[in-house]
This record gives sequence, structure tokens and C-alpha cells, in this order.
Amino acid sequence: MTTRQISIDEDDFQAFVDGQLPPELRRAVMAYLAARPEESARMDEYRRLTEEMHLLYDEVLYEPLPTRLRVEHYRGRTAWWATPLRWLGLAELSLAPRAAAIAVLLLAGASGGWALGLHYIQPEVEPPAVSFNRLAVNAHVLYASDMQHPVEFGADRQDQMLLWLSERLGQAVHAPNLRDLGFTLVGGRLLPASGEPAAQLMYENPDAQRITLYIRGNWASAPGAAHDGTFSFASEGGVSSVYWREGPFAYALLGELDREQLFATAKIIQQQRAMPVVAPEQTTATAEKGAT
Amino acid sequence: MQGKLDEGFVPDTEHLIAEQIPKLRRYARALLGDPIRADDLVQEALVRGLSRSHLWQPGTDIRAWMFTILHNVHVNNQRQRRHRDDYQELSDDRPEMATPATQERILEMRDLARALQLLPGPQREVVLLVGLEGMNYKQVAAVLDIPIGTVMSRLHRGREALRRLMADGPASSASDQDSEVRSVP
Repeated sequence: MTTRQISIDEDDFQAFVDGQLPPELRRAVMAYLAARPEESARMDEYRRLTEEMHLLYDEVLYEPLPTRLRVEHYRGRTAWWATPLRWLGLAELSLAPRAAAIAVLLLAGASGGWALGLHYIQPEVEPPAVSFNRLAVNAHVLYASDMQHPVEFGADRQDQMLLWLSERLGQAVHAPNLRDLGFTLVGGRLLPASGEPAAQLMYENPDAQRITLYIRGNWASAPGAAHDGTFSFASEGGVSSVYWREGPFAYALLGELDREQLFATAKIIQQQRAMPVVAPEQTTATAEKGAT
Repeated sequence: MQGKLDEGFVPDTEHLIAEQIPKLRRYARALLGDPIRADDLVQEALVRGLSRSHLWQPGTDIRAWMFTILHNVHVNNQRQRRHRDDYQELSDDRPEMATPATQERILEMRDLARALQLLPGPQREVVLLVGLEGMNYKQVAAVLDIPIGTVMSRLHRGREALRRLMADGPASSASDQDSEVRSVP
């Protein structure tokens, strides 16, 4: 098919989907597609698949890196002798001459490389509670600002959501009732937390202010976890968080609230955990609504 | 001076490489479908990239450079693992599959992950580099060391295969609403 002498082929369709067409061709493809709903639907589907791919994998971008994927981990390990070896063309030598070369370089390296500060550096290991909080902050920043898909499950399916999250976290997950503070449940989603599943519950007040509660199960297994029930506070880039450990769970409550508000909210959540009467009442109420 | 990293000594290349790691990780995970194997691949590429950082020419595209390294490592690994691959395919019984089919969206997403794995490797690579990584076709051609024409045909075939897999995929609930898009003649 041609439009204004421009022939359109499959490559142009792909480039159209990817936004890699020059404007002129782009207009031609749009004109072509306008008359062909089936082809147009195919383009939409390609685009949708690309979006889905992002939904599925973009979370990886925000996962903290394991030590073995951090450059610091490798700094100093090879740099001080391997690189000079390669420069001198010695890397390909067999072991014995290489050992001799290394011995020579060691002497030079000890005075040179050492002086440069390129000695072995033990990568600093972050305490689990801190990395847990960092994950929670990342997830908050990512989804609390999201107007399109802030949650995987809306509050209208709270029942299903909690069931599913409980199953994935391996422990019963409750959604605290924060109505007294003006916050209602928006919904929640499942997130990865260093290889363990974590849940994020989101709440919103009438001013469209959002707070999230980040929950990770199986916390007892994490070494050096914070003491039971003790609140820790952190603030970074406008997002404040209170995090604590409670039985098998680690919690982080996040929002652009001040310290006192956040602590008060965290306390309420903790109290509701202690008296689980609130949660079942709330879930059955929505279960009836949700069971269409 | 012990233990504290002096920023002044960090070579720029190393910083630039570090910035690529999350993207390499995302790509590797989508490519291999297995987080552990994906991180293994990224680690290999990272080690190789760091040890050759002096070969990188400043001013050129470091992302393309690192993706090229990762691709080469991947191709090598595949060659070595080819004979063992038969039984890797069998390990499909992931625990997540036990979740009841409550939500189409999740099901559908999983379907996409699975559908991606069903694509021939070369098509999957192109689809992911373009779709997920947002590379332009020239960059993809350079990373995979193939002509642009090949990029285009793999992209087209890969996307079309994905679309069909998703339309009449194994999960009945998710595909039903989508099947009106087109019934394949």
C-alpha cells in the first residue's frame, strides 16, 4: 500500500510501534492504519505487550544489588596485579613465568598500588533492617506517585488481595484500618524484597496524600533484624519511614508525613496487630461487598 | 584510610559500568526467566567488563558496550550448556503456579514471562532490547552484531509470536477476552 508515494512495509509498522519513525512516515502509517482497524489493533497489541514487559520486569531496576553485582566488590581484587599483567602482555603466560612476573610486580605493587589505596577493600554489608527500609522507600517512591497503576489490587478486592498476599508471604497479612486518621485503603501489590516476597498496602486521605505500608514476611530468618516492636525512623528525599519488626513480619510505614504523625500511625497499626479483632471485622464487611 | 572508599580514586569507567548494572539485570532476567541464572550472567559480564574497562573508548556508548559483553558471555554460556539444556527445560514447575487463578492480570503477566521463554532466543533478545531496553535498531544491531535487516525481521517475528502466544496461550481465563482481537485463519 502506498500513501503519497511512500510505501509502507512491516519494518515501518515496527518502527511505528517503537516511535522510531520520522514524522513524515509516521503520518503515513497513521493514515494507513486509520482505514484498517485490524492492523491498527495489531499495533496496539504490540504496544500493550511492551508495556506489560515493563510492568513485569522494571521492578528489577529498583531491587538492591547483591554484593556480587556491585563494582566495589571487585575493586582492588584484580586491579592491582591483573591489569598491569595484561598491559605487559603477561596474562597469557603459563603459570611459572606468570608467578615470577607477579613476584616482581608484587614488589612494585606493594609500594605503588598500596600507596594508591588499591588494597583489598571489604565491601560494607548493610544491616538487613536498613536494606529492608531502602526497599520500602524505593517501592513507595515508585508507586505512591503513580496515578495509573498505583496498586495491583484495588480495595474493592481487598479480600482476594489479602488472601493472595498471605499465601505468598506465608503468613496471614491484615490490612490495618486507618480510617480514624483519614486514610482509606487504595489497595496493594506484591513486590520482590531480596528474593523474598513483600507486600505493599497503600492508603490515601481526602487530600490525595498517600502512605504505604510495606510488609515482609519470614523476617526471623534475617540476621541482625531489629528488635521486636522497636520503631526506627529514617527520612530521605522527603519520604519519611518508620520501620519495625513484629513477630515474623518486618513493617515499614512510609509517607511524606512528619515524624510524629508517622509514629502515631505506626502505633495504631501495631495496636491493631495486637488485637486482630479489627481486621476480620473489616474484611468480612468488604467480602460481602466484593462477593458479586 | 582503611575501609573508607575514596571517591577520588574511582575511575569514571567503573562508575559508568556500575550505572548499567540494574538495566543489565532487568534484561538478563527477562531473557533467562530465572533470577539466579540472570544474576550469574550479569556477574560474569560485570567481571569481564571491569577487567577490560581500559578497552572501552570514552565517549562511546557504555550501555551498548556492556550489553555487547553480556550478549557475548551469554552466547558462550549457551554454547557450553547446550548439551545440558535438555533438563533445564524440565524445571518449569515453579511454586508460584500453585496460586489459584484469582486475577487475570497476574495470570496474564506470568503468561507473558512464559511466552517470552517460548520465543526462539534470537527473537527474544531483539524483542527485549527494543521493548524493554528501548534501544534503537542500530544499537541493537551493534550489540548483537547482526545486520539491521535481521533485527527488523526478528523483531517482527518475535512480536507476532508473542502476540499469538498471548492470544491463544495456555491460560484460558486471560486469553478469552483477548481472542476477539483476531482469530488466526
